Amino acid sequence: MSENSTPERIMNLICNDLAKDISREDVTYESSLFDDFQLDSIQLIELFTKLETEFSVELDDDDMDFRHFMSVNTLSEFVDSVVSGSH
Amino acid sequence: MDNYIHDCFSDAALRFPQQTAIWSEGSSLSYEELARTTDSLSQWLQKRLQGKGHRIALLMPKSTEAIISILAILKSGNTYVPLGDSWSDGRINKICLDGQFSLLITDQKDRAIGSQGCHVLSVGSELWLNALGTSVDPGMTAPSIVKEDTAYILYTSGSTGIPKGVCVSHGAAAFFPSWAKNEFSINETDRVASVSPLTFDLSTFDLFTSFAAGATVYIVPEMLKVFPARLSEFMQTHRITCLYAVPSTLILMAQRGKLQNRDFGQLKNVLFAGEEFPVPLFKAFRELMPAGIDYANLYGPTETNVCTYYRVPEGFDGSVFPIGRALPGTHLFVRNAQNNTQSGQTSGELCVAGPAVMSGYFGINDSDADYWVKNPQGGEHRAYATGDQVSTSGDGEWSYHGRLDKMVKIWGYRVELGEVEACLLELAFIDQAVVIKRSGKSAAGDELVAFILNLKNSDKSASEKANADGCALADDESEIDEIRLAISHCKKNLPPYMVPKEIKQLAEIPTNNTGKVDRLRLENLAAE
Repeated sequence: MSENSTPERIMNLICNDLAKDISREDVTYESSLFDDFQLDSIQLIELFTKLETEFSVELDDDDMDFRHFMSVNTLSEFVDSVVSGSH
Repeated sequence: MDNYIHDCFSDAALRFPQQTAIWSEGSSLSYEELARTTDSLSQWLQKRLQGKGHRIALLMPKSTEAIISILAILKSGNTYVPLGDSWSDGRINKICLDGQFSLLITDQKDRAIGSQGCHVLSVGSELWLNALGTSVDPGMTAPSIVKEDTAYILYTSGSTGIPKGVCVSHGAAAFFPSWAKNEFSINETDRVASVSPLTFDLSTFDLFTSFAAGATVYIVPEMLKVFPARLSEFMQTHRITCLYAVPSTLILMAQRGKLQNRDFGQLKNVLFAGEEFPVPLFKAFRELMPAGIDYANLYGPTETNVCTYYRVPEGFDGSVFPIGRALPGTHLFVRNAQNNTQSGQTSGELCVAGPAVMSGYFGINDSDADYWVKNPQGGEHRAYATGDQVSTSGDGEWSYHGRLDKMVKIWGYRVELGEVEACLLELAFIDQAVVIKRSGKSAAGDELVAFILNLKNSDKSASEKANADGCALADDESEIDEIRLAISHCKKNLPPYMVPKEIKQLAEIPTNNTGKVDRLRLENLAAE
């Protein structure tokens, strides 16, 4: 995937700013945010704000659900749907 | 009948048998069902363990099963010790070594913990189901419990790197829930949202105040705290009447919780504790909530449970919340830097004597310890020196002015910075570690930042990288690997809230003119 794809941008956000002990080579877009990236609840809150800045969107809290926060791929689909206004 | 916390439950179960005692996702139990199940498990424990006074660890999320276990442990005259299911295996192993448990009740038997030779009761196993399903033997006598027996032990951060177990006796455990029930008029019509984990003393209000009143405990799934709009929806759906939470949770609800879209018509009490609630953020929260809710700031370290309370008046216009007045029967006084506790002093370190003060830290013979102070007013209770700086205006109202030591709060959880530093120093390549709290940089609130020194690296880099400040930051590959390793080591050995969000390697740890670590300079460096 290109560097500018949504999943790659999300992956960079997580690896560079949040899961600093995780090497990029050890995770994929399907890796679990909790089990593999080991993000804790406080880091998830940071991730919301980082996503909003990175994609210049406002994430509606009513739409946020666990199922969007399973992996980079599920997050990416969620962000894309918000960006395209289909959510 | 005595008024121990499990007796109060049994009493409510007789008065409100059909009332729902616990609601959790997927299962609820009435008072009658909970009483029967806990009687069965209690008798099983009595037969299995012989005698009272055993420490029984719980490793599972807050759930119906966890609460059944707690009540059964109390009824059988034993001590419950909650372990956080988000805690690392390393930390749990340390606590198992310290606590010498007779039994571990868990739904995570596959976790890599040694449990140090104690027996394991696995939730959901055949053994568990049998223990819960056996009919109660009316001929079996209940153990005789005295008020000095330990009801529970809560492990908190310890500055030397080993968590400390705060022992709370049955006598002490009974005091706060019964006071809170009367003070906040909790009764059988209440629906109390339980957000705090069992390892946190806020949970004792949720469980034991509710159970004494015949109210219903709604177990809030752990993850809802991260999805504040889901948490507020949960509160609306279940028509929650009482919420006791750390300010961090309430602040997040005000910011992202969609409070303006919710109907909180039933809510009557919002209680907060564990950390300071900045008044402007409190006001932002209150503006989004319906009028007529009672707010109260409760204060007290785990060692004393809640010892002061401040009911926020309607037109509160102060810039900080006082911690308020002493609970009845609780005597507060201060000691100054010279260890003097003469009466008439209005500011210094807060000392607390009263019925809810802990009996001591588990396994430590501490009768001579500095934190035990003679109560100048005499009386049956010795006083615990909290390490908190306070002042009083003389009219019985107290204010909090910070810590005397290196303890900070992250999301209301106590963190001894020394425990995080000790964890980092376990790594051979770290020669010095200093951990500080950083505020205002992350959306998630306060966080920890660690500074580490590796003499090997700093020797080679001192000449090439030191800037005018002498605080060059690491940037080469091996140092980045070391930082990665350090974070990973902390994650394996500390609970999530104690893991530094950032670790910076320095060529030199700055000191002030007395030779002490210049923490202020590090705080500035961390904020950059």
